Amino acid sequence: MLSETQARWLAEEILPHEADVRRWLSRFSGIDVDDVIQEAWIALSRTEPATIRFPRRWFFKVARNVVLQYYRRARIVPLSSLSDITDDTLVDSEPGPEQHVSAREELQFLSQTISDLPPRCRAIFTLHRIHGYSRKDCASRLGLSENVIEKQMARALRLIGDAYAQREKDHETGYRSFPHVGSWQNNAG
Amino acid sequence: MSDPGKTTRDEVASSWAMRLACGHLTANEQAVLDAWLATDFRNQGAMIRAQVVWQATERTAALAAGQPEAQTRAAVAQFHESRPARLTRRQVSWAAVASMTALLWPRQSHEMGRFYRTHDNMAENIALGNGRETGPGKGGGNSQLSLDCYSQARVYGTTIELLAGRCVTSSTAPTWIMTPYLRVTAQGRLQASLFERQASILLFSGSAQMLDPTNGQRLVLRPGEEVVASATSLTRRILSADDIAMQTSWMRGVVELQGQPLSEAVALFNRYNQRKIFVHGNAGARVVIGSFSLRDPDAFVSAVRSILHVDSVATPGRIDLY
Repeated sequence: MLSETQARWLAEEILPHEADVRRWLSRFSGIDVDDVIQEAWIALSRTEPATIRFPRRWFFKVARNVVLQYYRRARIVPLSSLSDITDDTLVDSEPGPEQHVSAREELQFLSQTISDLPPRCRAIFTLHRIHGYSRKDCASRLGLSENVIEKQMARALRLIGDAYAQREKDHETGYRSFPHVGSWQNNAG
Repeated sequence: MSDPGKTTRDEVASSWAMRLACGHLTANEQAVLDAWLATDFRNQGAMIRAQVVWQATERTAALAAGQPEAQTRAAVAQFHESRPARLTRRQVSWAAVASMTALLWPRQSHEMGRFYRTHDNMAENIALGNGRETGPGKGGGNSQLSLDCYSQARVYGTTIELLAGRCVTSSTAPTWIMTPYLRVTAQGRLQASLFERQASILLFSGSAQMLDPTNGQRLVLRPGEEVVASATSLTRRILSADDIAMQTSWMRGVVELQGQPLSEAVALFNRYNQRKIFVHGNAGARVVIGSFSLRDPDAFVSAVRSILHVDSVATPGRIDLY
């Protein structure tokens, strides 16, 4: 399981870029984006945060190497996909000023996502996560069992996760040639 | 995210992530989780991601600064407003039995509910309904609600939802009384309590009907009958007049002690009074019998001094018993 430091780093520095990584992955045929992302999360969870200077770039590299592994295992790989992945075209992941994860932007995104939750889910999430009510207090206040509170919180968690996956770009990001595409183990950001 | 397998994986992962966030897993739960994680590497990825998403929502606590308590209450009120449209399986069961047994379902309220909360004071005889029509095809009914101290209730339409503590309702028209474990439609006078994951209904007069959540059978309560329910059990019993008087003594501003330790009696007084009593040493274990005015701690202390021969020191804010 994740340590608190790891979880915080992944939440603040990696997760906000997932939608961009997904969009980039969608250009490759013969892969399942969700599978690649899930495998990438396993690799990301093994990362030592202190060794990564540019988390966004790191996420793309990890995802790219997962795709390469898929292609190596696959018997038939579309030529166009091979061309894309070997042309070293990655999303611009240089840490320009517009690329930094803005805490305010993240909060706005979360605020909007929460407001889009179903009413029941939203009320429970608001009480529990935003206002810090315990499960028991939430249950008492809303006249529900603690089990229902937990299930609704799990539902909220999944929906927020979906929102992160489908998040629209907050800023225009071009694609550019990225020279450092060797083994991801050797390119820690 | 449209792949059903992926959706299920995310749902399962979110459930486990919440389970972990809520506390430690039992050995059995941990074994089930480990087995699920070992089934497919993608489950591991989904699990890690769910935990990261949960961590990411931590920053939403900052939103609390822009959402004062009033907005929280609004969220709660909105939640309750949305409940009739989102019935759980249990609620559907309730509704089905209610319709089969011709229970009178109150008209759905479109007004915002009112939230009542007491601290160390009681709220007595709150008029409900305002003379509005309170049932299908029925004329206006008069309903009253009295809340014990440290109680919370929400009232919307003809539904009274007890959220904590104890209340007494009196209604001439069918009224729904809801607690997490008991839901009763009643016309008459009853007491509802909710303490420590256990709810009870005590019918004083009139009629009340409910569904036994343990077996789905309809129950008709008789005056003097008490139903006590938790998440897993339900018991019924007929109370004697003395038992009823004791259970409702708070309504009369009286506390009837029948051999409780002094520490327990003092805790009861402290619930209802700003001037607190503190018991020191062995005095707390002494047994007290008698009937006392709940709002008069001085008289209680005076009686205790003479009966139990304890010493007391009274200051403006507190009374100490030794």
